[in-house]
Amino acid sequence: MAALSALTPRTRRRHRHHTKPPTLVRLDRVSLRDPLGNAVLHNLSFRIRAGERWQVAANDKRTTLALLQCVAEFQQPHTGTVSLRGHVSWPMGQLSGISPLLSCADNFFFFAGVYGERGRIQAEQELLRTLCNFDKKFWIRPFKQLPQTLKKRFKLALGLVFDFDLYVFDPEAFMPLLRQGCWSDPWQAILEQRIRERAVITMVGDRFGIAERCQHCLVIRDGRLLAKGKLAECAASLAEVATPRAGSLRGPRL
Amino acid sequence: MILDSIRLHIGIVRALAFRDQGERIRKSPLGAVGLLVEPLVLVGVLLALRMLLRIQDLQFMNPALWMASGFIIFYMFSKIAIKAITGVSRSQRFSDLRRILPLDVLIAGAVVEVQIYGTCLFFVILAVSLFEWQFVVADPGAAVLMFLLVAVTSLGVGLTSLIVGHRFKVVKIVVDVVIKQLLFWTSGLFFTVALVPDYVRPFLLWNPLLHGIELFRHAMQPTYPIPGISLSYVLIWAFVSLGFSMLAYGNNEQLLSAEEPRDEP
Repeated sequence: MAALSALTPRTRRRHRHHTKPPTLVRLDRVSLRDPLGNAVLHNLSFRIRAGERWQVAANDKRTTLALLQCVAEFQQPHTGTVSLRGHVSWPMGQLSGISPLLSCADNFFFFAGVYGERGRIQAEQELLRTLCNFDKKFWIRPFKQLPQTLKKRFKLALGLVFDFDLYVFDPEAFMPLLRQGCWSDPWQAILEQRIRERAVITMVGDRFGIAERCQHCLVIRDGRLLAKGKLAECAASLAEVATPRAGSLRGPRL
Repeated sequence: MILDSIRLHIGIVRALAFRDQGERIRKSPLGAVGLLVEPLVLVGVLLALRMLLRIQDLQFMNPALWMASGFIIFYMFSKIAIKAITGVSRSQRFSDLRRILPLDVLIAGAVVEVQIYGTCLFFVILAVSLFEWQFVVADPGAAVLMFLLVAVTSLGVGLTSLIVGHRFKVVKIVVDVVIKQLLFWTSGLFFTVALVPDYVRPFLLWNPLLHGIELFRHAMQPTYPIPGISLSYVLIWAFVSLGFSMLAYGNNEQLLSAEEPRDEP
């Protein structure tokens, strides 16, 4: 917890004098198809501003995942544009930049060079060690030689230690930690700190309490936008999507 | 704002160079030493061959230093330029990390090559100095400058080929052949420009690498003759090639980033 307290929040407020906070991500008429040509996202437009917390509800899990990946520019849409203006995280747990040859310590220093903040590298490293809770031998062993569970834990922890403007949470990625009983206080604490201070986009109904704190909702059915806005405004659409109809798991063929 | 951006990208290049170096050390069976072995063994073999054939036509400077400076600088040029030409697919691996630009990866690769080949050259100079019992570099500043100018030229040439080669594939192939074959034989690795017949010299002097290598040797030994060799020519090549490549890169960055499908996470 000491490591966590060392990570003081950034005090910069770039949008202090503006009435509306700046846009971090803007999706404009985004469409995405799966390899079979089925629409996963169809003509979707919305924006996330700094500090907003969004939850995404869809009748198909692929749609939600695809949207999170598009928001993080992890996946390019087939049509439409995704404009990122802020410092947006990768979808938590999904990270391809880790070198399998390097140790966790070396991989951390690489990511710290790219995403770390000057003067806070030590604190970030300490937090990462606290979250990972590895034995020292695993910390210096090449990443490819680590057990699968530790690899996963390292990837997830790496996403949380750096300070982003928008966190793209995929709660499914965190579920193994919960199942293995590795979800400890430091994890919950850093997660809550990130949610409190930054913009977030996540799936509806996770078990980490992220979605409960969201004020905005995006409801998608068959890849098409059903409703977006404040949570209260989308309640009816949310209930509709929460009980998927038979045969609705595949979107219309484009 | 601009300074912040420059500082950020310097940090990214350092991180990428650290990662690249770490990966190479892990891949090499001899670790960090393994990175230096390849160029040093090559120089050693050629020197042994030279001694075996009893070639004694070079009286201007120490033959080991003469040969090492030629081969090490040439291989550094070749590695940086070739890596820059084929650099796009590698940089794609970082497309998930939005802060990393393809240019950062190319510069980081060049930094690692400069580090490796610079260290090799340092060891050769150290060995020759110990052998002759005197410091063999007469003008260290000029030597370092020439070494860096060659590195900058190689990055500029490689990057230009990468961008032009993206539109005209044949350019990549031609540049690859020119670097590996034509420059190998015309960069003064096997001859000194002073001993080349006068009617051949103008044909060789178009090669900026020859100027760089000969000026490096001249910085080692001020009595080393360099007829027709010009520092301005190397400077022009370095700045024009880098400037042009940056200009071309600035206008084609999106095109390069979208060349290949990304890897699955």
